[in-house]
Amino acid sequence: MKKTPAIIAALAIAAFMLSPQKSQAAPSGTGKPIELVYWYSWTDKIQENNVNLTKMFNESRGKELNIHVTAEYQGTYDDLHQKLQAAHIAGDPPSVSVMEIASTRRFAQNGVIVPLTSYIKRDNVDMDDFFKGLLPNCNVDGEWYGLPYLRSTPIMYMNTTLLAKAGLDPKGPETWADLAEYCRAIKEKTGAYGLSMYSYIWVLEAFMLSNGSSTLTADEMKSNIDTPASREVFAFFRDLVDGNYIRCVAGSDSKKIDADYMNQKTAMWFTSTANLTQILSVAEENGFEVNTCFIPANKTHGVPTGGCNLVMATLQSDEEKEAAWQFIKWMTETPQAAYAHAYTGYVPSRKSAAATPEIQALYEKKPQFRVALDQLELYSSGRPMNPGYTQVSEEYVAVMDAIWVNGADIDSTLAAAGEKIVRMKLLDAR
Amino acid sequence: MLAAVRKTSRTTIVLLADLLILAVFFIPFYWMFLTAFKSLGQTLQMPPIFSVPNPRWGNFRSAFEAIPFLSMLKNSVIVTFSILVCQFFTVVPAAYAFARFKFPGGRFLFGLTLATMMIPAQLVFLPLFLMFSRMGLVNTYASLILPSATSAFAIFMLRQTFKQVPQEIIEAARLDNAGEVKILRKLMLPIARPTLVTLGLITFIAHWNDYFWPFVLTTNNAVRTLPIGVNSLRISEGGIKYNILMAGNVLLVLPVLVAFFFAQKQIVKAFTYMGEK
Repeated sequence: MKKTPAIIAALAIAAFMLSPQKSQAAPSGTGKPIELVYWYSWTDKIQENNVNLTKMFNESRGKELNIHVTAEYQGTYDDLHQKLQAAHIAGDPPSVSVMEIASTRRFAQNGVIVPLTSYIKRDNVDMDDFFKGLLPNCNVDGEWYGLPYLRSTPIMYMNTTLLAKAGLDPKGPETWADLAEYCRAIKEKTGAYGLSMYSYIWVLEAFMLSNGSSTLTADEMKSNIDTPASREVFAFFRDLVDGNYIRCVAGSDSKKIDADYMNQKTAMWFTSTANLTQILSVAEENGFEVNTCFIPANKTHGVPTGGCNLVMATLQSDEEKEAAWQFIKWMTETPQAAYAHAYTGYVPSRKSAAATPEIQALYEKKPQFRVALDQLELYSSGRPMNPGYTQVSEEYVAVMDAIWVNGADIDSTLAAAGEKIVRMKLLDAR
Repeated sequence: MLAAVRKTSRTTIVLLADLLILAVFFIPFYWMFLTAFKSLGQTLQMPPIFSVPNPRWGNFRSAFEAIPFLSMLKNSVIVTFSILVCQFFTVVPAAYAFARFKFPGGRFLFGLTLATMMIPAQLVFLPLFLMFSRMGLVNTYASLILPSATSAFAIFMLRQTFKQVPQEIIEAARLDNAGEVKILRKLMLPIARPTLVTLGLITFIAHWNDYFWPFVLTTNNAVRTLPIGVNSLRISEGGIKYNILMAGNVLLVLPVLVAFFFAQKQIVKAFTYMGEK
């Protein structure tokens, strides 16, 4: 063992460890710009969109107002939320962050994020230009805490090549009865499953809405899992599972749905509008056609929204807050909303963004995008924001696994889940 | 005759068992390499395809371009090797002291060292994070290196090896006026070489692949390591590109495979040596 190189290495490490590492060079320009940090989730197209928009801001509005924003990736929404919480406790949060919509109330109640209402009023931001279904999750007890940013809805995807083989209309099923009929016909005529799905809270929310109910009561204080509307949803899919017309897999097996649609083992599946671009390219490579349609209706059409809003951290100076607001405002303005929609496949957040010539041209080329927009405009609503809903969702996924995947009895399973949610007081903390 | 038959059939069974074990370890690697060359449509194809007619080298380029690969590689190298060097200087003296000296509180201290092995990382990460955050060390190499600057497991393993060295050899060295440092350098360490190499490799793999801690302690890419980058290829809301993800994984595990290849002989020696006692 020679010691000298090791000692040199140790010294080098000591030198390295003590020097803080800067990731971005400071921008040029007169005066010292206000430096802001902006946190976002997800990679790929979504990351590129965030990085590109931040760069565009720094070169335009940011330059005018002497603000410089650094965008930093933080993993999934869950990762980001945990880090935001930790950063708040440590006293060093980012100025601006994305936030998954259902978590808004929790972070607002804990004082991690601040209301934007006064800024919105002062600068006359036209809230009516945002699609109505996107707004409930921006608002907590009458105060605006976020502006809609990268938002999505679940839609139904269809392999129309298989639909044609089964002699079905490629426009897709309109109602639950049509959906059941489609599934039977596809299985009998093509051998593929009519539908593949995993225990997915978003899909349950959608079908509860389309059955004229929702997963929680309107005041979000009680669960609707043990109600006739819920029993009807569970029985509907259970019948199709029992007839072997559709395939349900556990929530933890969600990747199996990718395998099913890629291999044309299923004709229909539910996923986010954000997946459209990738699904179209896989379909082209593997030789089948894809169309999209609304989540089928029973009592009505209905669909939850998802994705993230832009929010502002509490722990920063008023000057930084003003700069942060300028960034949030710019990011959600019409041109940027149109850019993000076209770049990522999330829904457009503003009506004016959907009406721009570029977006209209996009719909001409890819009419599948239009379906998401129509569904958003006509039938979308928010997601429950009760802080206990995270845990309640886990209970719901367990119920879906039990009934659709493992064949548990519907009535007793739903009753037990309902009781458990009451007993554990999961929704009492609103 | 019967014995010969019995012997052949036994060899066959052993061979089959070997092949089975080989397959269990080999197939995931093979699948990773294979998927790295596929198109997205081929990745989940059923029945699976076990050869790719026109391999897509472009996947590696995509993985390379999707994350700040070179800076993350640099960070991984700095963090992993710093941990190795730090551990060498903390583990070796500690193990030697615990193995060869009787001193007041020695047993208690050794027990304390072992106790740290039993606390899961998830339990201490919040206080550790807050501590580093208050010290202003988030997003620095120090925050990634210091928590692993020593290792109870390594101290324990090396102590066992040092204990196996016969006392007579050490006494002989002492008679020749060798100091403790010299005994450590010229006698103990060469004897413990296979253990050191094995520990080094285990530490290397553990920290090269470490995801949790570096992810908690970084909020930007300045000191983020490669596993965070490769994992981020999976964090896609628009659907996972399995082929690009696997290309990233190949790039991540190559150094580990190379290190293992060179250290293999020493590892075998380390375990057989300990077994001989």
